[in-house]
Amino acid sequence: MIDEYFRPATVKEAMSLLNDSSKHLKPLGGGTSLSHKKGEQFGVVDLQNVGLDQIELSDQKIKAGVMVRLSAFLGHPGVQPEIQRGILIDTTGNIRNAATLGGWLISSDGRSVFSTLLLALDTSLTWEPGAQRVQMGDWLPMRRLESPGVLMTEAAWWAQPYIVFEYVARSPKDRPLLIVAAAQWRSGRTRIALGGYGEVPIIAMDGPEEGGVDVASRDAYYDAEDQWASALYRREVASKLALRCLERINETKESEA
Amino acid sequence: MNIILNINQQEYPLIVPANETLLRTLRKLGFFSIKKGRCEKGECGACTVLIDGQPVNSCSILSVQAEGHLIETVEALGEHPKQGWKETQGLHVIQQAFVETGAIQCGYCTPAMVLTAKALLGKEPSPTETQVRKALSGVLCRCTGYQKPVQAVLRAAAILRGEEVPMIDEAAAAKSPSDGHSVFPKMKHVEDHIPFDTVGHAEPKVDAVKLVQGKPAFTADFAKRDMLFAKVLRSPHAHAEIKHIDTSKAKTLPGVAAVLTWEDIPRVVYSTAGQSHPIPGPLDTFSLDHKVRFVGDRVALVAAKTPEIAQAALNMIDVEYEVLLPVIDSTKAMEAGAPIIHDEEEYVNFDKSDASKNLAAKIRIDIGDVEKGFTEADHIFEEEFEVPKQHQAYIEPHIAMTYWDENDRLVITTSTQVPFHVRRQLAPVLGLPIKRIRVIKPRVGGAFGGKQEVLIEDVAAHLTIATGRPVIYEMSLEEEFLAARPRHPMRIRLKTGVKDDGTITANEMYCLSDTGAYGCHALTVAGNTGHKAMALYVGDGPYREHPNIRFYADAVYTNTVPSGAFRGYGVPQGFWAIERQLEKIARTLNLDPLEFRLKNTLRPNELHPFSTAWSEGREPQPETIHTVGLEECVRQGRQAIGWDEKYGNKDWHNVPGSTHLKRGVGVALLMQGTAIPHLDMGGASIKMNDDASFNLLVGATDLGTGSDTVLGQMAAETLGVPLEDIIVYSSDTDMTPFDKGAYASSTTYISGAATTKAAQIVAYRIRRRAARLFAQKGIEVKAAEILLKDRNALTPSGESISLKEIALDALHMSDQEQIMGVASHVSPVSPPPFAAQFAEVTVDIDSGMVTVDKLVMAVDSGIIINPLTASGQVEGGMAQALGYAVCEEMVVDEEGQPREKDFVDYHIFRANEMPEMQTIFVETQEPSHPFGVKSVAEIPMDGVAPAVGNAVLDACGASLTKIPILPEDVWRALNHLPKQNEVRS
Repeated sequence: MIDEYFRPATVKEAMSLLNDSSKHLKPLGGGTSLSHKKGEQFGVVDLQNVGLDQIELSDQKIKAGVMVRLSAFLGHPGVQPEIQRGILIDTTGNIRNAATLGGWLISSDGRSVFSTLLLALDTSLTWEPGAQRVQMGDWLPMRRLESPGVLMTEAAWWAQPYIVFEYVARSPKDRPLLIVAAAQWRSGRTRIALGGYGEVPIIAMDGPEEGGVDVASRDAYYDAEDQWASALYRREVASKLALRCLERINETKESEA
Repeated sequence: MNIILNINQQEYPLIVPANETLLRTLRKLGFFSIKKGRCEKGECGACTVLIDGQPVNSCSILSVQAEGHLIETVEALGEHPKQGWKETQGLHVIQQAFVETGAIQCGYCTPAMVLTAKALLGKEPSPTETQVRKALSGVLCRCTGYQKPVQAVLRAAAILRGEEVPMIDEAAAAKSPSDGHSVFPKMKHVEDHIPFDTVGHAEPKVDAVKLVQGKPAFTADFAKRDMLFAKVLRSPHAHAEIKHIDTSKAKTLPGVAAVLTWEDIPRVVYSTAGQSHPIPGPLDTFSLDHKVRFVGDRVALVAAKTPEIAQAALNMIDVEYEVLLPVIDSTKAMEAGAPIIHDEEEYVNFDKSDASKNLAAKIRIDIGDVEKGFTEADHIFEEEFEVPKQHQAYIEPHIAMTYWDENDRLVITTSTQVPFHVRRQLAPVLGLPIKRIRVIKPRVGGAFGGKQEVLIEDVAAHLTIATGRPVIYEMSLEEEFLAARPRHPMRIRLKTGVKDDGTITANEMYCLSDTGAYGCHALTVAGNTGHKAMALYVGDGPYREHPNIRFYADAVYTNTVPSGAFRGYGVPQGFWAIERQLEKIARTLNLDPLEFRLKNTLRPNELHPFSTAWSEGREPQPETIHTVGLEECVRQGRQAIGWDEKYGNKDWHNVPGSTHLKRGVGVALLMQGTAIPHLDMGGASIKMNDDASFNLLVGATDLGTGSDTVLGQMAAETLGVPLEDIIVYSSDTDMTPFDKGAYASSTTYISGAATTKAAQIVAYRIRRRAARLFAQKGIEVKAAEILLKDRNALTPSGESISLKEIALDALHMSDQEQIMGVASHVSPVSPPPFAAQFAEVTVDIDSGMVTVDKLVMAVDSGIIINPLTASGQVEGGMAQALGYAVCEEMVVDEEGQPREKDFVDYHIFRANEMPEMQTIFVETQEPSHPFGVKSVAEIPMDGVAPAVGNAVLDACGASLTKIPILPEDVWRALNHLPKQNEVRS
């Protein structure tokens, strides 16, 4: 149960509160996790005024503060259309008006299209104190166990790669049972992330070229069985959807040529 | 914490706890437009407010977070245009558009939708339909199918842009059929159609103005002073004996007023099924028991000063269970040696129920000579089908509030479909005579059968009796999934004999219905599966007069959440099997699927084949079906879906540029019932006021369906006044006549006939007095010759007296009397509505993902009283049925632990993923009703699943026997892999 509330005006103030070990405080992103307030007593540090709510393009990357609302990505010209499409599948209008990037990264599970896409794009996360940069792929598996810092401040992902995804769900806006996201850099580097299963999305392949995406996807979801779909289904269909993603990327390349 | 909230441009200095949600603060301040969907994850959106112009879920943010921001609620938008001497701006354009387009059904989500629309139109004055749907995606609506709310927003946008918008009526829709029918349905009238003044018109709902303003209208809005909050401790085990409960710690927690276990209250066995006396099912339920029979069954009740204290008290109750082996799989429930779920000595059998075999109901019906019919067939088709447990997913959860009134009578305000059954059935449970209980039904935020259950009123009532204080009990969404009464899952085996020419010679169904832990509706739901679905196809030629039909059913107990009533009431289950079977037959024998079906369906003036064999556990009586509009439904539907261009057209099945996508079309023909003959009774009372307005009091229960409106229309038509002169009130067991409640598709037919009869009595007395008044003026006219029209009594030669003059004369001037009429109605027949449901789908053959692109339903519901409310029923029903077809199911594991507990896992369709939908009404003149109506509310639930299943088959060749049609199941069918072995309750 939340018993204290703070609204700092700067990141520094927020850090000061969060570093105070005498208080049991957690950052409050907004809109995604109030439902988990039952049980333990803790205070919250509301980050709405600290300024981490900007999206910018620099160094061929999209850099977004953790307090950017998911709705803000939809209208932003620099954000890839596939990211916007993914957010629309993941969230309702009301939720994306309140949910923040940071809150989403912390609380979403393996069935999030947005998180799967960010993983495919090799997103890096900045943590305070120390402005530590951690790759999302390294952080996700350890998310519930240990944290690189007390406050995530920014996520940054490549703006240039081709990025596409395919998914399977019971209805167009239901939570996907399977997500295959493919990112391909101009260098040929190809990265496949899979979602629709488990606590977090996973990387199926990250290589210098696109060959073997089907086999890699099949192998990565070899054991991906739960009450929603069998492993057999996920691995076989992931394999096909991975190839379909590549086809779409290649079609885009051809149209650009 | 001290905060200042800016709500609707007014500052509110407040002291709030740090953990208090904005939802709670606003409701405490009296902003009742903000509804509680109890989802707590922001999935339902009923609690939407605008914060700095953006729609946000107020359940998901803290009040302290909202400080410094502008909060807007519907209360600030618009109000009733006439407030006595005070002029107002009237309703906001958006609110008015919602009223005019029929976008409001139960109204629970309406304020949220209106606010969301305001936010959208503030940013985008000319939104596309896609943008509107995207915006509304944050608000779940279980009633409308979103079609009319979307059109309401588009209409409001046009008005705000200064454009002229068309009237919403038949003429305007006919002028622009391509988009006109998106609000107003296509109407195919009877040949001698004579328009009425009020009946048949798109009158706005009588409760629309209050609902669009978010006025306090629902149970939660009527909190009492000194009220306690109830919580229920629920079982973590599927089957267990309670060996010991220690409530001592919970009782000493400050703020706790009562803790009750089975040891504290009388042990009275009853049924929670809200049905007429005598209950057609076993009595097998106690308010609290020493045995638990499913995960979520009740263990203890707590009442406390706050919900948090009540929750803390639950956590302090120590329970020692002896865990018993559960029965989860319905196919094993009757096996020798299976654990017995109901071993209590108080168990009361009904008909063939047998608790020692876990058998809640058993039906054996043989019509004709089925075996002979099979021997006469050229082909025999056999298949087994499976349908899941589906939740009603009303947005307002079950909620009841109880208190002792000043006369020491127990008042129960509750969100129910059956107020009179609640009163009758709870009286013995509470140890009170019926006369000391008053049940009030305010507006209901959706029900769909789920509130045809005396499910929670006893919780609050026991605690009020224990404490003497008002108690409110509101189920959380998780409790709704754990312990409400969803649709019966079934396994259905079909055997059909057919001749080469497509004549059905015999049809046999065995249905294994899973009633869960209690036998509520077990017999009647299973019976309906056969009574409707097996009755439609009687065969042709000699078989038409002497059909051969066998329907056997067993409804078995399992240690899973009990099943209950849900729109369709067993019929959707049956039609999934029948219509999939018929499709298979048509394709195997190379018969045209439409002609084959129509060859074998019931026709006008034929006997309902089951009417001589079964009637919900009562004595059956023969019924002739007079009106069958099925052929015209097929004709209209096939045209609307483009059947002739698509079915069998290989080119159309392929999607250009996407080799992995295949398109298909499918159909299902349907029939339902209209009330239960010789049983369902509704009453109505009408009295005339000084100004010639009329109070119409009905026990009928408007759940958002619009029944108050259509009953008002029938009264208005009969009395010659506009609908606005009819003040409709429903329902209150102290104030309104008896009505069995809102179920069995009966209200327009039964309660409508009662209303019309009462109005006819009033009209007769008005005419009689009018004749006397005419005589005083020297005009001799017989009362029977006087026409009531346009608020006047008219002679054949054109003289008139206003109804107001007549009212004043009656109440104040001469030979004074209260002009009023009371009537009731029970029908000897249950005239079935019929329908043709069409579906168009696209299937991804790589993944098995099915996208439903279009649904068309052509319905024969007799004469349509209100095309807007009726089409709203069809659209909303199709949306629910779509979920049943592709995504809605409640799954448990082998220990009976449920998978679905919220709207994240239990997905119901949102505005931005709905297919195109079209409704067509094919009117017939049903002779057994004064206005010729049949039912409309349930039949839209019946056909989407089989039509989609048949369309999937048409698209890609995958033949499914189970719903929901999951991507993996399609993929397995396409790849000839075995079905998944899943455990479903």
